[in-house]
Amino acid sequence: MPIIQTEGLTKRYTGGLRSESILAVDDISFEVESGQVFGFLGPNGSGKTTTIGMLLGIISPTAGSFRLFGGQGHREILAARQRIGATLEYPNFYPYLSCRDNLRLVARVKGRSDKDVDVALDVVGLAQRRKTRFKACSLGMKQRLAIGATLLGDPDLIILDEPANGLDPAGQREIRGVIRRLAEQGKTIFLSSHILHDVERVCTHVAIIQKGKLLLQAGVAEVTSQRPMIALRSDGDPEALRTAAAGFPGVRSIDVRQDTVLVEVGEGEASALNRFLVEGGIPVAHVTIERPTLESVFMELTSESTGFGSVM
Amino acid sequence: MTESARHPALSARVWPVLAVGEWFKARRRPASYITFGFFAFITLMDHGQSLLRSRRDADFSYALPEAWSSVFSDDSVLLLFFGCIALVMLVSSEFTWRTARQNVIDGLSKTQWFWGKAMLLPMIGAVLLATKLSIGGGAALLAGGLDGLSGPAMPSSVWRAAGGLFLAFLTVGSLAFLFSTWIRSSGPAMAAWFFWVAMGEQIVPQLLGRPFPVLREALGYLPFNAAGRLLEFWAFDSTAYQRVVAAAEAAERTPPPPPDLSLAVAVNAGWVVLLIGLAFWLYGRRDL
Repeated sequence: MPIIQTEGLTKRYTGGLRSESILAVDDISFEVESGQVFGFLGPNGSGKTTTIGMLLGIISPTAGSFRLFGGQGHREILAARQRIGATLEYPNFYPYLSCRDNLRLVARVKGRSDKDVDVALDVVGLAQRRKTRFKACSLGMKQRLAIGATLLGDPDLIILDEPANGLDPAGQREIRGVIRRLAEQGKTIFLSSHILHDVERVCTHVAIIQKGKLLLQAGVAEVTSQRPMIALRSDGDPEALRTAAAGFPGVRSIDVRQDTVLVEVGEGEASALNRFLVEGGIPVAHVTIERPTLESVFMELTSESTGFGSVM
Repeated sequence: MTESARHPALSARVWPVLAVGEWFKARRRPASYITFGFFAFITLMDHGQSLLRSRRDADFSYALPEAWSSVFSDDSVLLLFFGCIALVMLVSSEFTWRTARQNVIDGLSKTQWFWGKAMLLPMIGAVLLATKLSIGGGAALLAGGLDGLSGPAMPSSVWRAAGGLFLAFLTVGSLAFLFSTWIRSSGPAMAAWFFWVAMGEQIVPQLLGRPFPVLREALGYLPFNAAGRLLEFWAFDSTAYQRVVAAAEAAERTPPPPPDLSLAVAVNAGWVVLLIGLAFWLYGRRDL
């Protein structure tokens, strides 16, 4: 049974009389299975937060439907949401209350004790700062507190929207560790992030969204094993190497990056290409197979869609 | 443990949890206790002045139970103002800080969040009323003592007047609550509430009253004006009313008409239901 299942989920914002309506989420359908660490990626304004907001009940869908833990009705969704821990965008807490008091409020709603609050503060490294008012916290501390609140109800599904925002590299690594530990405990994690390197490291599955439309949903391994490129280097002129490689019958695409020629050929044709070049008198000093990174796939997909090279 | 037993949001246990949570947040917020403190200070000044005067001036009596007519008088409007300021600050800031959204993410339904906030209305009203009664009654008790009492220190009319003032606060508080949940920002919501009360219910009826007396009469039933019918002690106490009539006749002024409490209560209760219902409808239509 999928933990999250959306069917044609759509959100259109309509403003005043003169303003245009904005299609923030356009007919999105995807599934998140139990135990997956699901990366939800997209440029700013692509509809990620709106999609998550609909799942969390703070934004009403214009059309389409979704199921959480298999439930769809109002009561079932409310019950399912008790099994979710989530943060959305910026950490939102009462600025005049201490870290501990803010978590105590969340704990009451989730039916948890003050002891659980202290454990959560300890897990996110805020035990020593429990009395610090939220407004006096650094952004990193606020992010940690938000994650602490998320973990409070021992949720089965954890939704994290840019959890590493504002954290230093050590903090980011710590968050990755927390996500990994949670995944090992069998929690399903829905992670929205701009840090594609992190997503690639921790996620098992990924969906890419842009302008409200879902561009891709697949396993991370599947995405990064698609279209491997053969990286060639010679001691001579890379342009000469490129020209020679372009003559190989199975070449699908070819590109030169600095002194490396990247060639896309069919599966298992790497050695044939190497032989072709050597027989053609081109000395090849270096041959490796380069798999695409999640970032390169993301950039390729989103730049195709926008027409811009960079959308981040 | 079943899901409903574990999570308050899935059972009736959510209501006490919400009430305690709202009380906790209000109690810890500096702005709310500054507002309550200021109200207590002004009330203390008002009744303390009467207490001091009663000590200095032998002809001035400020003793129970007659002093209740001073406690429940025009200055009860201060309770309405301070209560609404506190309410707007406590409700609107939940939208500004996006904690309303976070509360729902944490497991409350939107409906539960709304009614949790609506609980602030009776809470604030009760705290302010208790403050007013204890300061006003306490000052009168210090001034006159219990020795000269011919009857109970707090006759039933005092409880009725307190109920009336509480209902009056619910009426104007509902208006403030509507603006808070609709506008979702403290400053503009407070400004809108004040503009409605000052312009819509005071100045406009004055302007329209001369050419259209019937309209003026009708505008007298708008929320703030309707609440005003429940502020005077003489509306609840026949002896106090007779004193007011006698005083008016002595001053050759038209005495106030006999109070129609049933109508006033019905109109105020109607406004509370209508305004809270409208707030709920507007709130439900929008995303958090």
